[in-house]
Amino acid sequence: MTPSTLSPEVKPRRLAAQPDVQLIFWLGGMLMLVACFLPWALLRPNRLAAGVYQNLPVAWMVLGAVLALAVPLSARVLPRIMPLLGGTALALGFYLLGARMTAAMLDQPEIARASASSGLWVWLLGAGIAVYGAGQIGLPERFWSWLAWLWLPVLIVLALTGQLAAWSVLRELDAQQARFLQEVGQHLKLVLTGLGLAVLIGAPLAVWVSRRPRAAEAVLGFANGIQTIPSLALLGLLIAPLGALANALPFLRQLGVSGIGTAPALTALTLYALLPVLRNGLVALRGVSPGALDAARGMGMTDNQRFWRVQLPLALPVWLSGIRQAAVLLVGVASIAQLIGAGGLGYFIFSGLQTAASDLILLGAIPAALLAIGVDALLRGLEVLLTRQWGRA
Amino acid sequence: MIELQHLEKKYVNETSGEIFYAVKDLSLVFPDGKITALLGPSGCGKTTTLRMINRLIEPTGGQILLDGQDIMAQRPEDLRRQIGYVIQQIGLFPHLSVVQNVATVPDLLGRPRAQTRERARELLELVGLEPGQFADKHPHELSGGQAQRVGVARALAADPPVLLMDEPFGALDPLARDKLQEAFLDIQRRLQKTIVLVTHDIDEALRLGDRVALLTGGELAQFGTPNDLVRHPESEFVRQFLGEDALLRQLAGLTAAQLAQPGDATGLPQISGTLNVRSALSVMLGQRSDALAVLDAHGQVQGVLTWQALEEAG
Repeated sequence: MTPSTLSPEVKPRRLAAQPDVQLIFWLGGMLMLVACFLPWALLRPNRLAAGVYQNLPVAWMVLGAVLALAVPLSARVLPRIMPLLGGTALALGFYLLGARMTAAMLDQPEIARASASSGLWVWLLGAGIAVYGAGQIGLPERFWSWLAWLWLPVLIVLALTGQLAAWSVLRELDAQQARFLQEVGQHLKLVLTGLGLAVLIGAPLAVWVSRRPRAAEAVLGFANGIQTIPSLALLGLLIAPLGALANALPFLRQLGVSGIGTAPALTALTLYALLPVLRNGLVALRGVSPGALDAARGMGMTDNQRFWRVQLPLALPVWLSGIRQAAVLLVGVASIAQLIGAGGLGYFIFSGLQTAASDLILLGAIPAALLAIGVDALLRGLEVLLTRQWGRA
Repeated sequence: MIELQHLEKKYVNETSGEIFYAVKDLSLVFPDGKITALLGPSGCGKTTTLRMINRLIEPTGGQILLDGQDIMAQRPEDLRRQIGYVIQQIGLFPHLSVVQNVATVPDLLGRPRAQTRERARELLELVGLEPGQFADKHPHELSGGQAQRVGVARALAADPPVLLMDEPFGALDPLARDKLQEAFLDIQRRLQKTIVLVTHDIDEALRLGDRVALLTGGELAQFGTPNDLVRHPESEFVRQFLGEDALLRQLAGLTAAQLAQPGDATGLPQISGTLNVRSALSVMLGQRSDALAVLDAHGQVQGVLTWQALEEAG
């Protein structure tokens, strides 16, 4: 095939020049293909008993295999439809999740559980990789790229119309709705408070040490040191000093400080977030063009004016990326806060682990993952907005 | 008028106790309304000298008078707001639009916003940037030459009598540099600012400077008009620094139009009036002709450039 036989908007040369993108589609496609022949549902008489695996009906198997093969094959000739293809595959995965669970639960008693099995997860992984690959092509047309998000409205509609209700994880959610909302709230509270405190402490500290190289080394060393302590150990280490502190100072105890619960969890989260906030703050503040700073001084800005009008605005986008890293990190670390009684989505994860109820684990883990992605996207959007407005070249 | 009196900047090495003079006993007068080039090899103290004038560096000895007033009598920020400042890295603020960049100093001085914006647009016009097209752009959308034009406009925004320029054309490619130098001279002819220009580029100093101060090792080697330095070097260093082709360099600072005289131009090779005289000389040698017809911008003959005129100039 010569380039001249292809229409120009197909951009074959661009794709041909990126064999790694082709590889992404092969990987995604092969995973999807394998997924078609794996079991998709596991039906158990109750949430703890052993169960029976169910495969996809043959018609869906064939359809899925065709779609799976279409991914790597059309990537070469029709790259422009790749976002649509990936989005459709992902949406199909969610639809099948609802449909297969509903089918499995047909004529089953209320306490039976239908959970998603390896086929579904592998399919979602493969389709997700295809969607990711579609984003890497660099299509010139916005519209076609947006089609990769097709899965999102489909998922929302499926969820809102109750199509997914038969899925075991949602059964668990249904049983513990109030608790779920409470723990999501607690999780958010831990993350936002920890992040807020880290910024409140870290930002002025970063500004202060950015002009003092020796202090900067010491402070970064301290923050680095904390980062090397495993999060579990840090929580444990805080029990004794905070407990002692609360015992020695009764007014602190009245404020809710104690060795276990929210206080040590928040302390640990704040300490963890401190490093990314500090390090990126330092890098950002020091990275501001020396020419701009010299010009600012030479034109008669005072030190304060120079900081607020030039250095800070120019450092902010880079700094925000550090805060974003910290936020994502905290969503993860907050999941183990339950170990010292601080609640959060870890509540479901650990009760699931204790009772070997995988649905319960997922009820904690999936929202935690979504929360991390959401926080990341939100702050990334803010970064892009600032960068675009301030046009850093 | 800026007057340096026995200006000195010394650094003491903390560990060895060694003393290093960046500038040593430098006395100089920068005449009003003229461009004075501070010329010299790197490390000669020219930038240090410039930065002491707006107190970005504090002298360790001597004093600097601005219109007879010791500059140490003012708050450094107030002093700097009365002195335009242009640097090699250009140093535009990337997060502000062109107009906001230009309006920086008037904003610092608390002048009414509408008035400063109006003035900024005038200045853009002055430096050869169409305000309608450039006012709302951001620095990353500009070429190097355009960015430095904005840099010059910004330095002029509060209408300071004095302009300090540290290698302002140093980061530009030769073509853009040439155009900008031309535009800069044109602006200076109109504004008559007192300008201190730091450069290591001999051609630039001879072309732009009304006076040239050649520094070496923190001390003044020679101060005078470009012609003085080229014709009457006071020391071996000056002659060597300017080089054996100093005369040619000086010719490069003149345009053919400047030396053209009335005369019969029939049959002579033709050159543009904006061509510099060194290039014109090269045309003469190449064409084996001792006279050239000089054309104006419309392609009309405006005079004749003769070998004799060159001899007198060189």
